[in-house]
Amino acid sequence: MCGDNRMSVPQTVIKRRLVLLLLFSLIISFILLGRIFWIQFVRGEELKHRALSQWTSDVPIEPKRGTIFDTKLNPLSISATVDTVVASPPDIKDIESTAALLATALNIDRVNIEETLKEAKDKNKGAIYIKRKITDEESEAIRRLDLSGIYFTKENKRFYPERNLCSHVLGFTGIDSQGLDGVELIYEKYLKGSPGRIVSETDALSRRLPFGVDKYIPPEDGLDLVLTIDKIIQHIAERELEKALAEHNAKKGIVIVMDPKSGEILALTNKPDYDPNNYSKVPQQLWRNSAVSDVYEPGSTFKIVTASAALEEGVTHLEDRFYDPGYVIVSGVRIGCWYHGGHGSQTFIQIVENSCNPGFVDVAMKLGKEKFIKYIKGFGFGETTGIDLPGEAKGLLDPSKVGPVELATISFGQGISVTPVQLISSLATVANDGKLVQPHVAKAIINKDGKAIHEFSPGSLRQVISYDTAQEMKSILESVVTNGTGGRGKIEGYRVAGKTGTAEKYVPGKYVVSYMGFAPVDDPKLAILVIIDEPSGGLIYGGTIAGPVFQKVMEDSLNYLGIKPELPPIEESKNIKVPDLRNLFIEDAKKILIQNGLSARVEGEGYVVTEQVPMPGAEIKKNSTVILKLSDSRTNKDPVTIPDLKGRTVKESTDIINAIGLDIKIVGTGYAIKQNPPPEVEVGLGTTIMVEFSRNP
Amino acid sequence: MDSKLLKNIEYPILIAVILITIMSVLIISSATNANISEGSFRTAKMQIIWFGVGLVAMIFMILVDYHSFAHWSNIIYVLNILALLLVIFKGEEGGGAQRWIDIGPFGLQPSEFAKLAIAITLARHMEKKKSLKTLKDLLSIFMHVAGPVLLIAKQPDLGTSLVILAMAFGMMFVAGLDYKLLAGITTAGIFSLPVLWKLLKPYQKGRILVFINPYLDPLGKGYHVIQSKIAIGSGKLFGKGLFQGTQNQLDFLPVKHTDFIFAVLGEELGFLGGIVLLALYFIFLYYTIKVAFKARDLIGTYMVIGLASMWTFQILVNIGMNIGIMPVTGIPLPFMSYGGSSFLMNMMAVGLVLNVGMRRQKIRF
Repeated sequence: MCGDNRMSVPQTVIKRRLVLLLLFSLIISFILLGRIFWIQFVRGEELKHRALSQWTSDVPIEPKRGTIFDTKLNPLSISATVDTVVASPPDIKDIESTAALLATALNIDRVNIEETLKEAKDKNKGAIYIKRKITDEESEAIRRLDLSGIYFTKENKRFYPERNLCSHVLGFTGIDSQGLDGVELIYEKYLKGSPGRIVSETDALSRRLPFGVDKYIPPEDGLDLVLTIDKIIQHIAERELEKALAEHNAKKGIVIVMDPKSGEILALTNKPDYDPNNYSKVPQQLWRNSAVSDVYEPGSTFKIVTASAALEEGVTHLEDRFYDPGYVIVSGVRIGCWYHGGHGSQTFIQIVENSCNPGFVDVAMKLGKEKFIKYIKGFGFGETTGIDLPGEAKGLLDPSKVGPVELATISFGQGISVTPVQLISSLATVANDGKLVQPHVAKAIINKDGKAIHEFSPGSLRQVISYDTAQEMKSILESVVTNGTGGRGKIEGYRVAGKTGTAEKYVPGKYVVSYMGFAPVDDPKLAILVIIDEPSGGLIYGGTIAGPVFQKVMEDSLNYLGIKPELPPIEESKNIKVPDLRNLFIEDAKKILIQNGLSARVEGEGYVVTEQVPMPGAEIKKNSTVILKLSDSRTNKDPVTIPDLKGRTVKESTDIINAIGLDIKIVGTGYAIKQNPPPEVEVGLGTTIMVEFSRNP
Repeated sequence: MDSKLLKNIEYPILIAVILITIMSVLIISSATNANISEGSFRTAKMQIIWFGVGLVAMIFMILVDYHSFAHWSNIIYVLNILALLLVIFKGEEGGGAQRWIDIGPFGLQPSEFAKLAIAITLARHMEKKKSLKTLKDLLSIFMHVAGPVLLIAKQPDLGTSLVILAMAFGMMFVAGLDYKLLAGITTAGIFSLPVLWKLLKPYQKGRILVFINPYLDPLGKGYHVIQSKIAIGSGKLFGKGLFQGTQNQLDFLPVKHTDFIFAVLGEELGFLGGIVLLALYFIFLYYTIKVAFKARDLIGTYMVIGLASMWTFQILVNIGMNIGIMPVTGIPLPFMSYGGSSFLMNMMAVGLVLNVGMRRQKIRF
C-alpha cells in the first residue's frame, strides 16, 4: 500500500468506513438472499400452487379442431361447441345437496362427486371439472337447477355426422380433442390448432373480480383435412358389404376402392364397424382397421403377381400350353388343383382364367425363387405401403424361409401373408400400366377459406412391370371375367378385369374369399378389393361370394362417377329360356350357356352334364348362373354334336369321345390337332371319330 | 499506455461484469421471446451490441488518466446540467415521463450519465473541501448535487434522483462524515417526509402506498409486485428452466426485460440462479471497494466509492422491489436490465474504476 499523505481526512477513518461499506453491501446481499429464500421456499409451495391460482385463474381455450371432409367436401368429422360443467368450490354453499343434484342430472356417482368437491374446497381450488362435454339435455337440466358455484364453459366435441360411415379411416378423438385413431391421429398436427387461454384476475377466494382484467389470448383453430374418400362410393361399398355379410352369415368383410392411377382410396370399409361418436362404448377390437392392420393369406388373388412376374421375365407367354393333371408334386409334396381331376391341357391364359394351381406352380418353378421374390417385393409385399393410416402391418415374407414347396404355394397365394391394402396396391399396379402408386386417404389440408395449404399426391413409386406386360395382364384378367372364374364380376357395358381368391384358413372348413378387379380395362378408373371372412353355407368360392359385391360396388360407382359404358349395350332380352344341357359334353354345354348370355357353374367330376339347375325351359335373368352337375356316366343323347378336341391329350380325347357315346381312332401322339368329322357336326351314336395328334401343337 | 498499468487491472471486476452480462442476455432472450410466434431475439442482440459499444467506451475511460477527468470536472458539471435541461425542454416522453433525447436511431437518457458525472465532479468537490465536519461542509455538498437531482426529479425520475443522493451519501460516509451530522441528516430526512409527500406526483404516492400494502390495488399498482413475487416464488430451487417460466412466457410479468428482469431469473433459474447473480454482484462490489481501498489518492477513492454506492443502491432497490421489500421505482439492475444508456454508463463507470485501480501505484521512474 503506497498511499499519498496529502489528504486531510485521516487514512484510518477512510479505511474503516470502506470496510463498513463493504460490510453493508454484504449485509444487503444476505438480506436480499434471505428474502428470496423466504419467497421461494417458505412461501414457495404456497406461491406456486395456491397463490397463483388464487390471484389468477388461467383457463385454456381449446382451439376448434379442423373439419374432415370427403373428396366432395361433405363433412365427415366436425367439431361443435358443447357445454362442460365446472364447479367453483368456494362459491358452493351446500356441497352435499349440490353433489346430490349434480349426480342425478348428470348421471354420475354422488359419493364420488361429493368427495371431489369437498377436497377442492379444502384446497381452495379455483375451478374443477364436474363433467365434460355434456349433452344438451344434461345442460338444460343443470341450468334449470340454477346451482350456485356451478358454471358452464364451452368446449369442442367431435361429431361424426355420418355415424358409422368410414369409421376406420376417420378414427376418433379423446376427451381433450386429441386424435386417437385413424386420420384424426395421423393428421393431428394439422387438425388440432393451438390453444388460447383466458387469464382472469380472481381474488383470494377464487371469485372472479367484478372488474378483473381478463386477458384473452385467442386460440388458433386447426386446419381442415380433405380426404380422398368419396362419401357416396364409401356408402355403396358399405351397403353392399353389409348385405353380403348378412346373406352369407360371414364373420367380417373388407372393401377397398382405389383410384389405380393416383393411389387415392375412394372407399375403405371393414365390417363390422363402430360409430366413432360412441367409440368408447364398443369393444376395442372393432376399432381395428383390418384393411391395413391385419394380414391374411390372399389365395388366388395373389396369382396376378405370379403371372405378371412370369410374363415380365419371359418365362411364359400367353399362348404357351400347360397340362394340369389335377395336381403337381413339388419336392415330394403333392399340391392339388382346386378343380378335382384337373384342368387338363390349357394355355397360360386359361391357367389364369381357371385359377389353376398346378399351372401356377409350374410357372413359379420356371421363374425361380430369386426372380419371384424380386417381383413380390417389387409389388410392395413384405413392406408397408406407407398409407396414411395408423397401425399398418408389413405382412409376412421371409425369403430365407422360402424353399421349393413354399415357392410353389406362394405362387397361388398360400404361405404368404399380405394386408388387403398391399393386395389392392399390387392390382392397381397392373391397372396403372405397371407403375406402383402409394395408396393414401388424405388429399389436401385446407384453411378456412378453402385454400389448399398442402396437397398430398405421393405419385407413383416405381415401375414394377413393363407397360407391355401390364397390357397383357389386363387382357388376361379381362378374360378371367369373361371366360373364367371371375364371371361374377361382369358388368354390362364395361370391360372388367378381375381375379378371384379363396384361401382356406388354418381352421379346416373356414375360408377367406376375395375378389378384386378394375374397370374400365382400357382406362381403369377404379380398382376394388372385396374380402369376406368365414362365409358359411353353400359353395364357398371367391367368385361366388365376393364377386357379386365387387360387381355391384363397381357398377354403382362407375355409374355414380359418370363413366360412360365402353361397350354398346347388349340387346335387352329380359329373360332367357334355359336351354336343355343334359347329356351334353361339358365344354359344349358351357359354350351354349355363354352364347345365351348365361354363366355356368360346374359341380362334380366328369365330362357329361347329368343334371342342371334351373331345369330347361325356365326363364331366368341374363347373366344368371346355371349349375351343371357332371357325372362319369355316358350319355345316350342321339345325335351327338362332335366336341372340339383341339389341344387335348390322347387320354382326354379318348375319355371325352367315349363319354358321349362315340368311338375314337387315334393317329399319332401328343395333343390333338385335327379331327374328322370336324367339330359341331352332328353324328349318330357309335360313330368313329378320327383324331390326329402331334407333339408340336 | 504503460504495459505495467495493464497488470494492475482488477480483472475479477471485468470477469464478473462479463458473466453478469451473459446472464442478462440469456434472461432477456427468454423475457422478450415470450410471444413465440414472433420469436425475436432483437432485444437480446441489442444488449450484446450495447455491451460491445460499452467495452469501447470502457477502454476509452481506462486510457485517460482519471486525474484528467477530475481536471475537467467543471466542464463535466456544466455539460451534465445542460443535458438534463435539454431533456426537460426537448426530451421524448416515455412511460409518463420525459427522459430521453433522440440521437440518431437511439434515445439516450442523460439522467444515467448524470450519475457518472456526479461521481467525478462530486469527488473533485469533496477532495477540495478536505473536511466534512460542519453543517456548512454538508450543505456545500448538497448544493453540488441539488441541481442534477432536482432536474432529474422534474422529469420525473425520482429513482435516479435517489440514486444520486445515495451516491453522495456513500461518498460522504467514506469521507468520514461525522456521526452527529449523519444522525442529523437522518432526522431531517424523517421530518421532511410529510413535505416531500406533498411534492410527490399522484402515481409516486400510489407506488409508495401500494408498496406498504400491495393488495390495496392488486390489479393496478400492486400488480407488478404481486406478479413478480409469484414468478420468483414459483421458481423454487432450480427454477422452471430457461424459456420455461410460465409467468414470464405468458406475459404476466410487466416490464420484465428491464425493471423486473430479476423476477424472470428467479422464476426460470430459481434460487440457485439468484445466488449466482448475487454472488457475482458481491464479487464485483468487493473488488470495486478494494480499488477504493488501494487508490493512490482521495479523489480516486471518492470516485470509486460514488460508483460503488450507485451500484449497491441500485441492486438493493431493484432486487428489493422485485421481491417486495422496496417500492416500485424505475431503477434498472446494473448489467442485467435491458437499456442502452444504462449499460453504456455502467461500462464507462467500470472503466473509471479500473482506471483508478491500475493507477494505484506511483509510477516509479
